[in-house]
Amino acid sequence: MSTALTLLRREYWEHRGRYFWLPVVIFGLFMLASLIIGIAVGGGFTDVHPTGVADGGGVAILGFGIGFVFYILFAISSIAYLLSCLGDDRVDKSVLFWRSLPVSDTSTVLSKVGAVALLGPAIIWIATIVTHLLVLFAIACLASARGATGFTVFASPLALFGTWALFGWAMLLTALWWLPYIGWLLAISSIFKKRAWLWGVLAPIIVGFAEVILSSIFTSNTTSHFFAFITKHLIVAPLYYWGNPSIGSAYLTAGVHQSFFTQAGAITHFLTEPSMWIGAGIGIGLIIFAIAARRHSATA
Amino acid sequence: MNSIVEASNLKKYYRKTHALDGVSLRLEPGHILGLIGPNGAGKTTLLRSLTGLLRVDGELDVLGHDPWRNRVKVMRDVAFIADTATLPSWARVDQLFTYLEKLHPNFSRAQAETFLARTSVDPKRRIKTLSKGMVVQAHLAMIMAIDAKLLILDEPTLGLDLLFRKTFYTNLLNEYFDGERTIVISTHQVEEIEHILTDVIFLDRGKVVLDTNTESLGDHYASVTVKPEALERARALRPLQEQTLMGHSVFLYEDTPAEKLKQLGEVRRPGLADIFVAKMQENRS
Repeated sequence: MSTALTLLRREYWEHRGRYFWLPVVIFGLFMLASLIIGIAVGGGFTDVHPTGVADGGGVAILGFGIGFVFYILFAISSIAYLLSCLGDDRVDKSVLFWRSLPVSDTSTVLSKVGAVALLGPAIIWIATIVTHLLVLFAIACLASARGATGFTVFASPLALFGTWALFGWAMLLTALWWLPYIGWLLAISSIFKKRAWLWGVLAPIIVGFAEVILSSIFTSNTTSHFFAFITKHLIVAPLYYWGNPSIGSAYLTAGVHQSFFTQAGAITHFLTEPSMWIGAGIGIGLIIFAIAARRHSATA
Repeated sequence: MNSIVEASNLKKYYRKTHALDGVSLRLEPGHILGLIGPNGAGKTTLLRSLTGLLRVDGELDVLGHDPWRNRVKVMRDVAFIADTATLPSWARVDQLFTYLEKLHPNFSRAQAETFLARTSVDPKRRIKTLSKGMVVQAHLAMIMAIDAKLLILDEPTLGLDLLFRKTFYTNLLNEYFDGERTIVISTHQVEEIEHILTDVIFLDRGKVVLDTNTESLGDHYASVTVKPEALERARALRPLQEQTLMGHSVFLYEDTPAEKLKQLGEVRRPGLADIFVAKMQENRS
């Protein structure tokens, strides 16, 4: 456990941009936006509820939005991170230092998975809660100043704690759902020191286009099953049920309690899908490949 | 007493290159071995195989383990400086201390800080802001704070100035070597480490050309400044090397009786570098 935490700490030190500055900048933008929106619309916030009272629905939707922005930007930065995390230390030769220590290649590679699947989401989770509370506070103050019942935003525990708990759960399930992508990018990184982008991102696209071209020559079919599969698995993730606008609007029409449990069910349902476990199996296989490749190529 | 390293018939081929071609060696505790060879001789390949970074054919035992299969176990008792610039550029020195403190069972942070305090390196500075000499000092502070049974240094002072190199080896001997620890040093700068070595191995094209202890070098090798009238007799004794230095003929002999050599001219003990050059020429002729 101590080893795992130290390895994650190292990831944090090495990639402070991702784990510290990225959340700080997003947080700052949210603060700025809430200030501008608060000043511009002020009491208008209460309009999100038909009764004119800012209740749990609006609070939950705001939490979704904030968490979604944090997570998506972190996920995008994770692509670059995963593609380079097993190659950069071979380019600058620091791999010789890391591997001169009694730390296994398995621990090293798993720490990269942990950084993306656990460390990042943990930081985002905290950042989301802080941002959510401060934005609510800012809006509540401004709404109250204009005579609205702004501070009722803190009245629904489910809208606050439930939203945060569900967000954490959605991030964990999304990491598991996206394990094949994490594994793929790590495997590429373990092989290619340079031009990992070419192989990691462009290669699947080229395969997709090749399938379209070949199938259009030999059959009348012009769709790529490969491309459809990897994009669908990428986009329709547990996080989708988090940020889906239709679910957001359900909060306003059906009420926070009913919508919360509907959403929790939709997210958790991913655990029962075969593609979750097939994908996780592929992901684990690719991670094992990355460990083996690291062991053999780390001094190259 | 158990050997620190036992290697038998190690082989590593890269297509047409024979990086290691049947290397065998045995290293006992308390010895300082100099691994000397020209570029491409296989020194780095050998050292990386000892630290489990490379898989080689043959039998290899380091501290009772196969380093390729048990790298983590081996590296608990082995410290390794692979090059002059392998510390991660993004890290601060104190972060690396923390990392080692948590992950290395034989690392003493207090010792590392004591060693570092004697240098001009600020522990809060990032590696990328340090000069090459400072990076080596920081690395050495870390390595010397590891209570290792075997220390492996692969060209640890390459690219550093003479003053730094002298300090490096002085510190190594005074602070680190306690008579029980074992050290393997690979370098081109033969003259600088000659006086600290107990054993020496010459490697060329993946083969061991010479494997001996430095004390017995004087028994086996002799350099003779041959008198002009004795040149023919000197050549008849089949010298390892013959060269002319400032008008004098200097011959290097291997395993030739001292009585015969004394008749040829002034006999002295050759330097390690002279023997190295002669053995390389012999191996390649």
